[in-house]
Amino acid sequence: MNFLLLIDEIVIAAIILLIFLIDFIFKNKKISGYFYILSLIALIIYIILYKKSGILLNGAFVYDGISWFGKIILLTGAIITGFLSIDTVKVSNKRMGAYYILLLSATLGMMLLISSKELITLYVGLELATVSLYALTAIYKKDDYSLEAGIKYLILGALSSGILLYGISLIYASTRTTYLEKILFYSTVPGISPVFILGIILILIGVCFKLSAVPMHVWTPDVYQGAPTPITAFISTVSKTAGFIFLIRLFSYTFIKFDFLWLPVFVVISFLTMTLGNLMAIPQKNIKRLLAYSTISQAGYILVGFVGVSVIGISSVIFYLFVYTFTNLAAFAVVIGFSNVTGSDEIDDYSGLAQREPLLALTFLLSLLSLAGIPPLAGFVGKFYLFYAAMQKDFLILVILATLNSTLSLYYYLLVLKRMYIFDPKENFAKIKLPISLKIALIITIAGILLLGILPGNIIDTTFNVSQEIFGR
Amino acid sequence: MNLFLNSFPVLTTIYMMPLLAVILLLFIPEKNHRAIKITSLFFTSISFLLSIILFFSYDFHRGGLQFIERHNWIQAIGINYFLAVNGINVTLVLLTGIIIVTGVLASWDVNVRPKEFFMLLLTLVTGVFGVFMAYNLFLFFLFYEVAVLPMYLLIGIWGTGDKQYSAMKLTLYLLVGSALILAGILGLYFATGLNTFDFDVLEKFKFARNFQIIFFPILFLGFGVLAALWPFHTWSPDGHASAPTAVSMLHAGVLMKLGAYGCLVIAVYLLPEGAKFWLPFVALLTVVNIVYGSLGAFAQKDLKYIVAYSSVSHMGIVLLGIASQNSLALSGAVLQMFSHGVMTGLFFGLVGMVYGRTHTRMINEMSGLAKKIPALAAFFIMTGLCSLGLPGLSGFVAEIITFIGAYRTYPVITIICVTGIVFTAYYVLRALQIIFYGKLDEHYADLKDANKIEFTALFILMFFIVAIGFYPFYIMNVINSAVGEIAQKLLMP
Repeated sequence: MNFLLLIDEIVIAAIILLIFLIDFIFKNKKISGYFYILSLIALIIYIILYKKSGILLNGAFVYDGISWFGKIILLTGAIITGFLSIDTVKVSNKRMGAYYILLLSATLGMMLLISSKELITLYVGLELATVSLYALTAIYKKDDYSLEAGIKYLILGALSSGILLYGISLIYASTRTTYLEKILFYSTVPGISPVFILGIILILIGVCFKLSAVPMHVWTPDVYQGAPTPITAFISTVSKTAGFIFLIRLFSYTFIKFDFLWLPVFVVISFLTMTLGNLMAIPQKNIKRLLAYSTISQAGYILVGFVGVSVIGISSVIFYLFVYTFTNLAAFAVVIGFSNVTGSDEIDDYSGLAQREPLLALTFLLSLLSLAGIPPLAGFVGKFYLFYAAMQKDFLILVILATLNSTLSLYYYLLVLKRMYIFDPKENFAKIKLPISLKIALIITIAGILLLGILPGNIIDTTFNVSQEIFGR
Repeated sequence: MNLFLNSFPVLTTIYMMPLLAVILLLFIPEKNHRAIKITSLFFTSISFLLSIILFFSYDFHRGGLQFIERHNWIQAIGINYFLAVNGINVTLVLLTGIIIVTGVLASWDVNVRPKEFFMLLLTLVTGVFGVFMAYNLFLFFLFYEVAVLPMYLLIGIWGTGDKQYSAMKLTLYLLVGSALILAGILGLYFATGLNTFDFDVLEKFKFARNFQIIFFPILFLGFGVLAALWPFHTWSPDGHASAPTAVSMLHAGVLMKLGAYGCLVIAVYLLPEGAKFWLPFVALLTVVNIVYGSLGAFAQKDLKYIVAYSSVSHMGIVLLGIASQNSLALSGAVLQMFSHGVMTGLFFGLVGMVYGRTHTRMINEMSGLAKKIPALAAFFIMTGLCSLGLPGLSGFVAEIITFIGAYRTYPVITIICVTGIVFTAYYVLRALQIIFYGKLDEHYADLKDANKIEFTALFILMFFIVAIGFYPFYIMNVINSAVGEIAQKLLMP
């Protein structure tokens, strides 16, 4: 037993304890924030440099390529979220420490989620992450929207967790095991019990909720609008990464023998998710709701790559998640920077932003165009790779629908860009002053969008290599 | 000369120059209009000069791809950085060089947010140059999208009339086209199973007939949208009419050619069987293009709309040439791309200059302008004559070659199309007569003729029209060296 494999998770747990202490000692609450960021940066450097591999606890916990790269994506997201939070989250001093602790425990849960190959461990990781997120969503105790969002998220999240757990229990009932590897082995045995199939279906429903895939997406806009914006950014970006890797572990690996059953379902879900997400985004007046629907449609695109199952499919999903982390967080960074000064999330108020704060407008331009998949930005390479993966399995119609959907999405992104670049600012506007932490976040995300767009070669190779590892040695 | 060009990556330099200017512009203060314009002009001039040198250094006896630059980029999925040019490419690169330099000159009076204007304009041109050089389909698509998107802001911010509607319409139409192209490109890639997007490899692969018949329309329509193929042309008159002068010049002059280029070099060349199956239908559509474009221009009162509709009509001639599948018609089509590019650049430039003086584009509101602005009037009349196909100017050469070639394949269709030219003659002559002759309106008593900068721009464009009209042989040799291969592939059973 080599517990060194768990070192990343242990470090996070230690950071949580230290923040408790720091929060108790120092009056200035920003110190917890800085500590959060610095320690995570140290951790991510350690992870990048020292890639491990192995299994623990009879294969319940695994450190393979996917969990390695997944952790890098998650921590990147968590670090940027830290930069987004420090100067903008307006929580009373008492609860500021709790804010970072909850962020960390959510991250820890997701790290467990992407590194386990056993259903109960998966479920524990998932719950640790989502329960932390429920609390974070409602952390603005005096804000009705925040509370409403928290409650909605809690109730619907608990419901979906219940469905998921029910599915897990049915899988266990029919296979007598919760280890993914053994379930995979079981599924090669002829004569599958219908209970097993029902289990797969229930898990599929539960996962779709977490990914906010249509028709389990209805909670998304309300929660995203009500939650504090950095938390919205975190949920819509970082938790998506964990969700999709969870999906890959279950479907591209464990239930791969049943792809005749779930593949068509995901093709349909993918189409519905991107199309409905895009159509509903068009009439939105609130930027957070617009981004919420855009997030839904993005989940649809990622599913296009996902249905290309094989190594390329997995690799394209992981690459896109990395791209998406920078792109989506860039968009939210702008929303945070804007509302931090103006207190508004209405798209109308973005008029003339290019003249009020060019850096914000430029970041928004790049991130929205990257979300729409315009070269030479990261989103283009990412989407190209996703569609490539689907095409390799001959999903021509789905790919055409997806590319047309990209065009559709450009319509509402352009409406926002039009406000910023073509319209003149409203009268008596103030220049927008950005806190330094936010500027750092903007620069990191811009760099990510451009670099992954222009020089994606190495990262694509890496995702390809780690994806090969999922099928094990 | 070749030694000089081979000593550095000339193609990369040509498309990088505008991009370099964009980066420099970032650091020039907003208020310094002069510096912004001079920087833009300087870097685009370098591209222009290099594209002229490139054109004359291209060895048409040898033919094929020359000035090749090839580097690995994203190896896992067969994406290379692969630039090269053949006879068609050098012609179109030259066209782009001509149009961008004159476009920058024609934008000398842009004083609203000029920094952003030139940055977007030059980004656009980077994309256009890139498309005409890229021989890897991924790279091609990348440049293609870069060339399309800045248009939205250029029209939306600096346009006239119903600019936001036009800008959105144009962008969405073109991106629907590019969505189809992307799917088509991926289809080509996986059909070969060779794990490469390199054009020269794909070109040698023989695609199955059924595959060709399915994918040809996907690719052809994708590019056809940009080439204003009827019934997907409706973005074009609105877009061109609303765009600021330089953008109209670039768009009608070069970007529409980019669509025709894609139709020819990607759809027809890679999928000849599919082409043979579908092109007769395309020929029918081009009739509508030519006749409808002419009639549309005929009905318009706005000078810019007249030119925009005539572009639809002229692009119809290009597409008819492509649809005719023989080498004569194809050469004519490529020459028409070049000729129409220069001519329409001149047209839109002139319309912009006249509009800048009179502040109206309605032909009924202008009369007798020749008395006050004789130089502009002279240029305008020459261009008009070129557009109706007067011998001695480039339009005549291109159109007659295309029509002779097309007649061999589709005699009836060609005869109908030639009548389109009669309409052209009528609407051009009518518009010119109203604007420039007759009694001078008092409003316009103190108009000033073209200044030096405007004159330079017009002169460069006119030079190429006349030069090709009188001596088309060199450019025809260059074009034929590339078109021969395509025609041969179409002839093969």
